[in-house]
Amino acid sequence: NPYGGLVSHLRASWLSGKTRPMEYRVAQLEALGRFLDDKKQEILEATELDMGKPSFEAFFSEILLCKNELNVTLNNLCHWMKDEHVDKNLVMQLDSAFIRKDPYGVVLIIAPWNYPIHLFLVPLIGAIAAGNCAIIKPSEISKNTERLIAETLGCYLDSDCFAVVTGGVPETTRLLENKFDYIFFTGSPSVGRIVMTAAAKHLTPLTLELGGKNPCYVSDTCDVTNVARRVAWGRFFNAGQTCIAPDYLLCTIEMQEKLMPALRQAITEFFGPNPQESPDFGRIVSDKQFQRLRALLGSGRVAIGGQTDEAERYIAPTVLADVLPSDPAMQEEIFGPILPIVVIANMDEAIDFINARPRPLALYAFSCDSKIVNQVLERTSSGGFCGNDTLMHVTLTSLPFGGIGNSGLGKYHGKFTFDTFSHHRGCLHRNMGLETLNTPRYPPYTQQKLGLLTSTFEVKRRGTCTLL
Amino acid sequence: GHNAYSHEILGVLGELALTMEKLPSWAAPQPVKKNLLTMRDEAYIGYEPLGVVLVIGAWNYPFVLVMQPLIGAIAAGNAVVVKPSEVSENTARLVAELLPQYLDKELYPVVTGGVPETTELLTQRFDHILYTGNTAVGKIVMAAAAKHLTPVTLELGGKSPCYIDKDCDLAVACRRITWGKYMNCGQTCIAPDYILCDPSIQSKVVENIKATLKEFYGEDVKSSPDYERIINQRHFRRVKSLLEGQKIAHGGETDEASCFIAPTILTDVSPESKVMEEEIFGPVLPIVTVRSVEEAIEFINSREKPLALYVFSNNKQLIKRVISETSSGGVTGNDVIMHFFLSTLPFGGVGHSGMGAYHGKHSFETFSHRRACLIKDLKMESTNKVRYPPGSQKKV
Repeated sequence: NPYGGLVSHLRASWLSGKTRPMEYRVAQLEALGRFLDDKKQEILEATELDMGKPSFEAFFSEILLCKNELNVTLNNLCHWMKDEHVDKNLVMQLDSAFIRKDPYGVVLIIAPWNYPIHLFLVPLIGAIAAGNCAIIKPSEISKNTERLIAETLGCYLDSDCFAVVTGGVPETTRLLENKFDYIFFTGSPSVGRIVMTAAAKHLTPLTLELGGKNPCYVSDTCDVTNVARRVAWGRFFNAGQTCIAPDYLLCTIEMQEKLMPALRQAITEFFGPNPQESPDFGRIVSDKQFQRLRALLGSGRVAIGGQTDEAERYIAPTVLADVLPSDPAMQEEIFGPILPIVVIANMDEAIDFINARPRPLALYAFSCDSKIVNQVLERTSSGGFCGNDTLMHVTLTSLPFGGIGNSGLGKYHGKFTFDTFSHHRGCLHRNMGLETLNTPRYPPYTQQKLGLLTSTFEVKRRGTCTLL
Repeated sequence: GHNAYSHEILGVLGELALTMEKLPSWAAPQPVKKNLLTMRDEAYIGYEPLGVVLVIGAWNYPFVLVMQPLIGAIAAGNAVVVKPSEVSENTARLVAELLPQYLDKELYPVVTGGVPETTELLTQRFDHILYTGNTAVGKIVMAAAAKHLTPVTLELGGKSPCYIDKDCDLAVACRRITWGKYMNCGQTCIAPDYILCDPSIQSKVVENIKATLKEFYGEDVKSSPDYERIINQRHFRRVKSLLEGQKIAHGGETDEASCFIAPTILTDVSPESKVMEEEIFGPVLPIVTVRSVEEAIEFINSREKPLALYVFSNNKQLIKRVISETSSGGVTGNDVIMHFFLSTLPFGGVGHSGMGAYHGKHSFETFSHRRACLIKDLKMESTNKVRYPPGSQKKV
């Protein structure tokens, strides 16, 4: 077991109790903040090398959003750590009843390549805040960022309690043989299954942030210009390599016609006449992904873009029109700068289309009519939902971020990350006195005792309830 | 008889009343704090059903362990497949007969059967599985769930330690412990499994428990109507074998024909012995001596995390220390079992004793999906310009 020693070392540190005091956690979190500040340039450079990530985007997702999470956590940690006192019943009025937030112990965070700093660092913030030790496994596909993390994170965090493990599939498989007290995985559903199966062997609880095809419904009543901009922004950010990107559009044939010039306009506004020359448009992370994406261009017809450059792993911001459900672009999560439009007759058909497919991580609906937005929301299921925009719901730290069904289980961001990495322990601290009050529960059992027990324990139904 | 009413039915009635009263507030969308960018938007968490969930019950409290999850699952808006334990076959048959008479059997079917049927059931795709039972089967359930990426709540077990401090009212402590240990003939997932105490009080502990047992069950335990039996011969033999080679301070009588095992106390038990390996789930109470609370804490932490942890002391600080330096599903200080009965406390395990929790609102949340919802205005586009390319230092 090549990682057995490392895991044991971390577990010994965990058992020593050193990660539990608030001061320790704050110190480690502040060190993470310094990592982001000191290494900002290196992070922008590494992600640019890895996938041509524009520095504006890298700053936004890898630095700014991470610092937000850090500050929300530092500002609230004291409050989050406190015992949560709960309402008591009649019998326990004189007792102390509270929920204690216990760390789990040694946790494993597995991060993907598309937002390689953000997607290990934000979970790590919660893991540290909750008092755990952690092993971080960054993705080997974003190899420049992986190297940066492996070489520099250790200079900021306590190496007795936090470690970085690098490697690919074989290394991750061996790592997963060990017992962890929590596993946090971001990646594809197929690997999610493998991770959960490995976790089952040790009964390790986990969070899986997976993916799927995020539908984007555009109704006939909408401001076409604004829709086009918001959809284009969400689709082409990070060259489409975003788990919550709008994956495909559902609209009527009339709307498809109206949207096309608006989308063309938005793309030109964003990236200029030749996006390949824009510093604000990314590249595909690997040859394998590039080839996979290029094959999808045969779906429907290319209405905008479609140009590729293999040497640069460049795929132009592309919109495919008249895509059929049976087309290649509709068989898997796209994860690239290609937006298929599937034509439907009306909202009902769009909703049926969405519900016939696995539940997505995100779902988008655009309409000037709020009733339509609400109908789509109510009649579908997804991890999260954003009406009249894309991506933005995950920037609000007070909203939980996670999937459902194939798109994942568990949630995080803000306090939800802290809660994810804490065991919520129900605690009842009773009075040693007043023993006579306990008599009704002891044998020998009598009808009288039962009557007493019933009256003290019973919660009676109050009137009728109307679900508003 | 009375035991069943108070343990199985009262709890369910209370949970029902609570759920019906609180459901509107639990199910209501929860607005969240917004930031500058989303000030004019609607941001909230919506509670939505997961879909079709599976509830697998256990045999020791066969009614409540099926009904309580069912209440939460229905409240959250799901369809539920109910699979009572075949080991408690009479209750399983009753549930299968009665439930369809009261609930829509298309939405809440009951599936009966044993291991082969449950294995087959687990190949199906569910949107959540709540399983109550043992650690070994818990792993099987989670592995089956992994194939479908189905989230699980596993209510398992383990050896729930009970530390008795020298500074404590032994008579009261022992009475409470006796109640929790021997109820349902020890077949309770949160029963105090074993005692940790200083050698100097061991014999007093035994004396107090003996006296309480007489109070509870009379001189002849076997003829007390309030003392249960072991569920079946297989478990009878399992529990009986734990007595081999042990110092029996009280009890030890058994009768295979009636699956009777007398309330038994073992003293000076070695941590390496068989009775200290797995969850006892029977009326056998080992006492392991420790010389300090530090030793007790170390002992507890060197083992798998238990479902429940108990500590008795007049010293509040000591109780707080034991809680802070250990981990367990739940805790009751100066009593046993009782944290189960407060529905505002999440009931569940950690590590080998389980994952997830339920009771009260926690059941509702377990069986719901918390969906993040952000509804923006299609207008107000100017505020979005700062995020669009082309990027510039000013925009940053």
